[in-house]
Amino acid sequence: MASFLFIAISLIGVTWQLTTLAEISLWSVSPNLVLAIVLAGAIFSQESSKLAWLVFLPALWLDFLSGYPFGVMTLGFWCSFFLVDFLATRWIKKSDLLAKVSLLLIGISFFEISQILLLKLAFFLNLAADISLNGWSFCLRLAASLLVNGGLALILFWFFSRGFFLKTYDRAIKTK
Amino acid sequence: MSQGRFSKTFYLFSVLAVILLLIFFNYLGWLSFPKNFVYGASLPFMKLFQSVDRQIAGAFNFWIELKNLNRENKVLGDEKQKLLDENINLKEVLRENELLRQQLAIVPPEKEQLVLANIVGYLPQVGQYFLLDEGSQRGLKEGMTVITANNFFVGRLAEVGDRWAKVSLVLDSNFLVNVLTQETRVRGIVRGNHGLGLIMEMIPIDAQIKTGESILTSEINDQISGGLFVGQISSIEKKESEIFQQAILQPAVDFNKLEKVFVIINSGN
Repeated sequence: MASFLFIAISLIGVTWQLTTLAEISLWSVSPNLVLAIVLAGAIFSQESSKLAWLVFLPALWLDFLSGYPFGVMTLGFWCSFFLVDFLATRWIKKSDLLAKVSLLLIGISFFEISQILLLKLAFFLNLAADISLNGWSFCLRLAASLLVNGGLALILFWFFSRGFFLKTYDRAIKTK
Repeated sequence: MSQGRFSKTFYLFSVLAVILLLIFFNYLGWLSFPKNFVYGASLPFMKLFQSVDRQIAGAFNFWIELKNLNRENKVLGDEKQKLLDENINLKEVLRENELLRQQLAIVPPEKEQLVLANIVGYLPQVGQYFLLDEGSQRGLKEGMTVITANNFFVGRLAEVGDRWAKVSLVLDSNFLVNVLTQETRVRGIVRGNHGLGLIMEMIPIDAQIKTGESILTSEINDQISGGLFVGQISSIEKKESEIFQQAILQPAVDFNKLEKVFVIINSGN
């Protein structure tokens, strides 16, 4: 039941990202709900590994529904999660907000760069068309992404730390 | 390494292996069933979110646009007079064209066959895509041209499922389309400016193009129909040291307000 609930909620979340959130944009960057969940979850997962599997399914749904070559999004999310999780276990103390914000920014930058590199790799493997991206527009995109997704991830992190999602999850497990 | 950390690393790498395996399966074409399933499951939610968004946006837009109404009304009135004049002239040309075709015994061109589709999702990331609620069951195929009601060019189909399709938009920086200016007949290539508009490139430096001129798709495109309206030139960038000039275009379509599009399933050529 809990798994089914999670699959449904993650699918609805991704759908919401592709519709409502896609309408809101700053320098053509829309809030990336999945990225925010992944990064907030990665920082939080040092306290509870239950959140680790939150990454895979939404990323997969987004990969199915997005126009990217298949795997680029899931791999990007997963590598970002892995990096932030790895750094979080070494750097962060429980109340160190600055380190958490820095990790979020590192995670977002890593995700944006990984998308470009993975798309370039897809091009070399003949799986996608080449992308043309100049330095200025990439910097603009990155700045907008740091602002929008960083803010969103901080809000989600606050929810996680309040135990909002975990309580719901635990309740669902107990009813099962 | 502690037991907990080992199991976490093991877990992370096993998921990575699953992702790589899925990429391989997708390469072999084995993921069409889960893709169709995910599209099918998410379509009702997409439609629901879209309709709620439009209702909310409609209420806001009404108050925002109210103050511009007078000015817009005057501009539209002037434009209507101009278009009426053009329309009369064009009707005359059309009649003349039909007469000449009859005299020369040329068969009139076939009409295009269109399929109407709703936009149910939008992903403005590095690539710019729309999701449509129609697919191969209605005759849609990869590469087909997508337009709006007034023959405004939107993009082409990048991927098609049973009841869904992804449209690669002209706004995407990887999307290249051969175009020509309507009046001066200068050829060039249009590509997206990373979601920030359109750029027309490869225009010879000595070509005389004008601001405000309309840009149409060229007949020499591989799968895209010719004569579709892409946008208007808003500014021209020219450097004497370069052999090409470029023009910044105002797209013909307001992509944020699009709700329905047409897919040309038979271009009639």
